[in-house]
Amino acid sequence: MKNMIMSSAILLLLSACASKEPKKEVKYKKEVPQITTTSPKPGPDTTSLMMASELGTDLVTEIKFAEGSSELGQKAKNKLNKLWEKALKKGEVTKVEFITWADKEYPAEKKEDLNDQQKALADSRNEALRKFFIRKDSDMELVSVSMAERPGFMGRVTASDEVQAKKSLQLADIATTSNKSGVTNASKSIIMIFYSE
Amino acid sequence: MKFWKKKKILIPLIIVLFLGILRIIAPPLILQKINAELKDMSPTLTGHVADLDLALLFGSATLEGVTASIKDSGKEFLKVKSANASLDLWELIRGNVEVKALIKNPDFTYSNELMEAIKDHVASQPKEDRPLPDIRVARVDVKDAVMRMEPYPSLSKGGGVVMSDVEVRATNVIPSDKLEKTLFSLQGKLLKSGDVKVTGAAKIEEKPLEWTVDSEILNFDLTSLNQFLRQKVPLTFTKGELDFFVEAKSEDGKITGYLKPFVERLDVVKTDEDFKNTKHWIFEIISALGNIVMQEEEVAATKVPFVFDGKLKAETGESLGNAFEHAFVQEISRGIENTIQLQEE
Repeated sequence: MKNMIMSSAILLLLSACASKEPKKEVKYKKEVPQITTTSPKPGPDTTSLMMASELGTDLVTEIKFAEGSSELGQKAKNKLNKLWEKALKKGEVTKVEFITWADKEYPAEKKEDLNDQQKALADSRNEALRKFFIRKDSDMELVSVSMAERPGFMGRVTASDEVQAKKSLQLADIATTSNKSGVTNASKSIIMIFYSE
Repeated sequence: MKFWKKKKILIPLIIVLFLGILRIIAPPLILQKINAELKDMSPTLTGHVADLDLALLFGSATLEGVTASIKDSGKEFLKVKSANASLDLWELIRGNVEVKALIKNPDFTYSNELMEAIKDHVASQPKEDRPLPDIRVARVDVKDAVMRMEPYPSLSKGGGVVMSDVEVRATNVIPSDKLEKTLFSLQGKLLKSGDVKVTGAAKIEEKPLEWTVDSEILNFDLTSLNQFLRQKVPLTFTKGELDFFVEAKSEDGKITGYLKPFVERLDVVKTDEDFKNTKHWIFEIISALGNIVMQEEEVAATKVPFVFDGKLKAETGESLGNAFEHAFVQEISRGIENTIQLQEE
């Protein structure tokens, strides 16, 4: 009986109209692991977090480049500095890996090669990141991955860092030039710092 | 000297020959060993692998046609098209064993018999905590999985499928001291209707296990529950859509969190319903009341905080307050609030 009264009360309450607007929600694509939220967490998305965790680090961030540009903006620099400081608190930095897209999504299929301009853009963005980190420490390993091209045969055979990152992202169904349903990454860079305690 | 007797030709030739012979001899031997292990893995459960393929150059092995069944009845509860495991050869050279796995098209059937068999299996295991193996499982991907629920055939439209198109990813599955969290995500389709997403993290080496989960079900057609509901409770829907959000965590053996259901375009009256008993009829009256008060485009919503500490305690008062607030003051927003996290050390 108590439950019935409660149910009726709830239904009556629900029939009224709210007087204030709800908090705005952030909704993501169906294929993306991110869940609808009213308070998005600052920081990398689930796909990047999981790739970093797979590769063996919890220090990861994402930056966005302006279209056609390879310049690191102040916001990006602040993010990178923050991540660097975090890494120094955890231990000695051994490697920094950056995975960078051109202004187009990853070309997943053989026939979908990006043009040379896009390939050069991804490379120059990686170069900007390399210069940024080399000023911090010239001894650590720097690995740059261009998401403007697919891995070559040798990379596949040797299972290089490049191949591992690309395979991980492809298996996570990121968006590609022919399939836009996954996580969109154009103009983005994922930066991971590896350290030893 | 004949050309093939030259050292620079001979050594690679021997390596290629060795790999070739290994490639031919090893799979049947390893397969035999795996099947022997699976056969005796438990007093109640057993498994079998139909074929094994090795790719030595890439350090990977693929098991094909994997099945698992209950020993007593022989009932199959898991079928996997293929399961690939690859070793990171560079890590191996550095002395670390790091594995990545990809499981394709697993088809899992839950049954009461299986639960009993698992319970017996767990009881047969040694009680002391065994340390996790000294390997790192960096990533496990599951593609196109299907989950069936045998005890509730009425829950699904056909073949007992409750979840389909399931994609799962788990990373850092066997964690290291440096990286203690296992991360996981799941996406799938519930009863061929609702889009389900789950993401979370777990500290699997903590005792008791610590975890946090965020989840959503979007656009779930409530009428897909009718067949099931008719058998369990006297309530059916002619239309209605549900969005559902959960955020929860388990710490120190206590689960805390909240649920946020949103119901839209609800119609709970079925005109040609056969009333089974008085209780059924009373619920139909309540449903009718719901239909009278809910207008076509209105959304019913609330937030239900809960605690599970051996016993479930849902904050009914707060839920009612939230429903009241949604109705009269401010609409509850759809989505998780990111307020529940595991404590960082």
